[in-house]
Amino acid sequence: MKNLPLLFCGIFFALAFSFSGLILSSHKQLGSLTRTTETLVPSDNDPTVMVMPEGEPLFPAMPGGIEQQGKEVYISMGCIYCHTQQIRRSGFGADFDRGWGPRQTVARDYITQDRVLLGTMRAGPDLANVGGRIFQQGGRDWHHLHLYNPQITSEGSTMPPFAFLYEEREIDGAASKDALKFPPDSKYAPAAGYEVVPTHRAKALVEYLLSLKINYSLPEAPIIE
Amino acid sequence: MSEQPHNSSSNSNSREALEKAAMQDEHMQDVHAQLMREKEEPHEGFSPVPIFLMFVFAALCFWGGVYLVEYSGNFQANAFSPHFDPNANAPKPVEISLYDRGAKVFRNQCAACHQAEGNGVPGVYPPLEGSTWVTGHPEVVSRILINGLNGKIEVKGNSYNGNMPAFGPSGLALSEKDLAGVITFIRQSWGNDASEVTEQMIADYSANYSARSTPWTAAELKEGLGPIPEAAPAE
Amino acid sequence: MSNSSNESPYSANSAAVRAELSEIDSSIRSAALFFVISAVSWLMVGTVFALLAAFKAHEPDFASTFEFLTFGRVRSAHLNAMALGWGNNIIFAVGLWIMARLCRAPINHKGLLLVAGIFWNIGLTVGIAGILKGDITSVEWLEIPHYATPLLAISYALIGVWGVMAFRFRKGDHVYVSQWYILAALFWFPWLYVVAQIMIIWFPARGVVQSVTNWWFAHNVLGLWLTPMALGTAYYLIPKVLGRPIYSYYLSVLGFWALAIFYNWAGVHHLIGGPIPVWLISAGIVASVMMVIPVIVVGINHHMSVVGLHKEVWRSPTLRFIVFGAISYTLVSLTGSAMALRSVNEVTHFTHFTVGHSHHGVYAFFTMIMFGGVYYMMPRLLKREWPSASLIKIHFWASALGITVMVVALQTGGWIQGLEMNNAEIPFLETVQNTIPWLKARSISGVMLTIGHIAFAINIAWMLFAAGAVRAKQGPTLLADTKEGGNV
Repeated sequence: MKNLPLLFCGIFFALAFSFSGLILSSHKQLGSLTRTTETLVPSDNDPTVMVMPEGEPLFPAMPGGIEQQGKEVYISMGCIYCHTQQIRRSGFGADFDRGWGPRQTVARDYITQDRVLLGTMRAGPDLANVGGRIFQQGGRDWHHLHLYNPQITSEGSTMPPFAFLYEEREIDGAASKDALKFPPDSKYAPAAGYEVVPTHRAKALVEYLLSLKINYSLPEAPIIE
Repeated sequence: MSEQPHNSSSNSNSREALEKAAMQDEHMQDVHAQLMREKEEPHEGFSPVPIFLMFVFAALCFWGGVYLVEYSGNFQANAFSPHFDPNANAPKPVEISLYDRGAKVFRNQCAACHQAEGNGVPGVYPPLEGSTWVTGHPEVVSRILINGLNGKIEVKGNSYNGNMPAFGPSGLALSEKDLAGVITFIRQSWGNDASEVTEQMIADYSANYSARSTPWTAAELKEGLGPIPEAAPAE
Repeated sequence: MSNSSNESPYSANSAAVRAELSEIDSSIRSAALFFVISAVSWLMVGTVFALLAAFKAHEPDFASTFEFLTFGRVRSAHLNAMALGWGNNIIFAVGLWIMARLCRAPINHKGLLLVAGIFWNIGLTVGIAGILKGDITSVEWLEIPHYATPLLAISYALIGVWGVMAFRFRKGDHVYVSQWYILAALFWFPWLYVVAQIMIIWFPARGVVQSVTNWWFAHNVLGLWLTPMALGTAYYLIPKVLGRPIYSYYLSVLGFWALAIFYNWAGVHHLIGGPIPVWLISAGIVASVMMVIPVIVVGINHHMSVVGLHKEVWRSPTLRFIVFGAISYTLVSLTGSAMALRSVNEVTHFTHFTVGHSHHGVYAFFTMIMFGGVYYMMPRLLKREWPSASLIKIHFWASALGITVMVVALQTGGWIQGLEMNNAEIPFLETVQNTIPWLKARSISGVMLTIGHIAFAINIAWMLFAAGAVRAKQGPTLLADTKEGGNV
């Protein structure tokens, strides 16, 4: 090849083409997405235009403070390498049939997140709606046991234990109300007179997991009841 | 050797001496050995591209174009399925029952404290399941929702001292339909079996109480209740 | 080009050209050796992390009390040590060397190049320590924490300049296919890296625009950085070792431009079924399938250049690795095109199949070709021969068999895993447990690769430091008996 201007232009435009086609155009299409109500209604002025009804809550919700801290822990532990946070549409894969969520996740579901953790590996189950499956104080207790050692709640799991997020200590006076509630005779339970309590990082991580919920409709992705 | 190697800066006088030295220098011998087996720098032949390949590639390009047109959801931002139909996309307002509407509101607004099963958290969030505050006079629970509740309250034999926020106009300002829905939902879920609370009832209560700016106390709740509306017979 | 081949300074037996090449080799010697040593060191580091991660994947309790050794961090440390430590360093060594040779331009200011290389490796060390410490970003292929990336970007820019400068001051007006690939890659990589850093880490774009950027970047690290560098190396060394021209200039042109146009759209196939508009995904699928064109073209071009000389390939350490890599390129790319189809992706997505596929690409293709490049380049830099043909053989067989076992195990296991995951009747935990035998096979393959890497490292250390290394005049180290001396 001797036509060097052509070579340079080709090298430049090849990448410029995909950069504008994939990055800039998706930024243009998705970068201005805003929170919205679950359904839209025809406008009073022009019935062909759909608008947000007044007074309805906006989705997706903004993340809370402790949940944000928990997300930092999720990121620093590299949970994304085994857990996705995306639900595929009904009929494509079994995300739906496994009850991982009430609807597929769409672009708008992620706009309030400063780091999007879609993930590409499911050595563990999808977590986009884990807060909708494991909830309440019972769910909180479950998560703590599961993180302390997954074998307690899910025997045979390949998930590593995160016991370093917990502190084993001598019970001083009354037992802590945060102490992990091991099943009776659990071989993972601490010795008598000792208790296992979550550190702040573990608590934040569990609050984050509890907050991961797809329990609202969006106009482009209604929950299929 | 017709040409002087570039890395030699020798002039012609010392060339002979250098060559002599090179014969004895093992390093030079290595360099020489390596240089001598170096094959020519690569270049290209000019065999033509097999013609059948061009047909295969043309077919691929054609397939790519068809695929892109067929499965691109009109290049719309809200198309997430390859079978997206832009005409079927006009969002139809889904009419769902008051109870279902309430279930949704409950999941989003209430379940975090009162829990998805309505059993609350002992000592912190009172249960709704089996609570007479919920299943009793519809005006009581409506008052709590509209204005909130503050202070000690006895639920199912346990004492709670909480701070329930207002969901009426002075608080989160849920629509009357949503309030009616969520109240109906908690009165009819988890074994609770009380009457439906309609949007109209909430509208009436709202008219009475939306001006009130302070939350209710447990003692106040039982005072000055109106009659239970006829329109909502217990089921 | 053909009309001038007789006067071309590249024709055989030109003493001037030989001496010029020797001069170029000397000019790049210190820098290239530094990059080779760095690359092999990172290869060993990455291998240790790889073994740890592979073992932890089926023995979750192993070393689980150390926070810095938790699976997510070890896996990311492995990926970055291999991609940016081994991959980039070896590219800087082999890529710059080939560029300098083809441009017939000696490397100037090599001290500065060395400094840039040292900073690259410092940045990477800080970055990987940061990953283990917990500052990992959890953005795939961009795990290095934000405080190390500017150093990486700046030192890369400095290193890349040498390739461009060599090209700027090239002699002769013909630009060979390897130069296109290397020049393009030197230009593409910083663009990709800077855009991804800005849009994901520094000023995060809204929502899933990050994910699109993430996979545009991550797939293009393979497609527009590792692949062109490996293809450039293969295009240089196949004809160089065999002493015959590349089969067809036209196929070279077609292959290069088809890769340039299609590959960089393909990354979106990592998001099939995900929450991004379907047209983006379909564009990625079409581009992935269109990759069949450059792959077949390059495959034919390489095959036709080698055909009939299989004995030569077999006895040359360089070509044994490079031909293995070139065959893998065809296989892995065709697998990749198939995996992008929605019906196949429905099964393979989110499974170990993808992990097998990426190792197929980065190891069986890229790394094997780079091994071949090192086997050719080192004797020319050092004016010595490889001390041990046995170690080269061990390296080849351990790597070739190891990667084959790994790809077969992960892709079989991954396919089963995908089928089971798509059947909601099977409890999820069962799908996990059924992958364990395949993950154990992966660990075994990892041990085999480790043996190969150790053999490689010993051979290099021996060659570098041992006084008794084989002298060049004794002829090249070959892998099979031969009557005549030859090229390696």
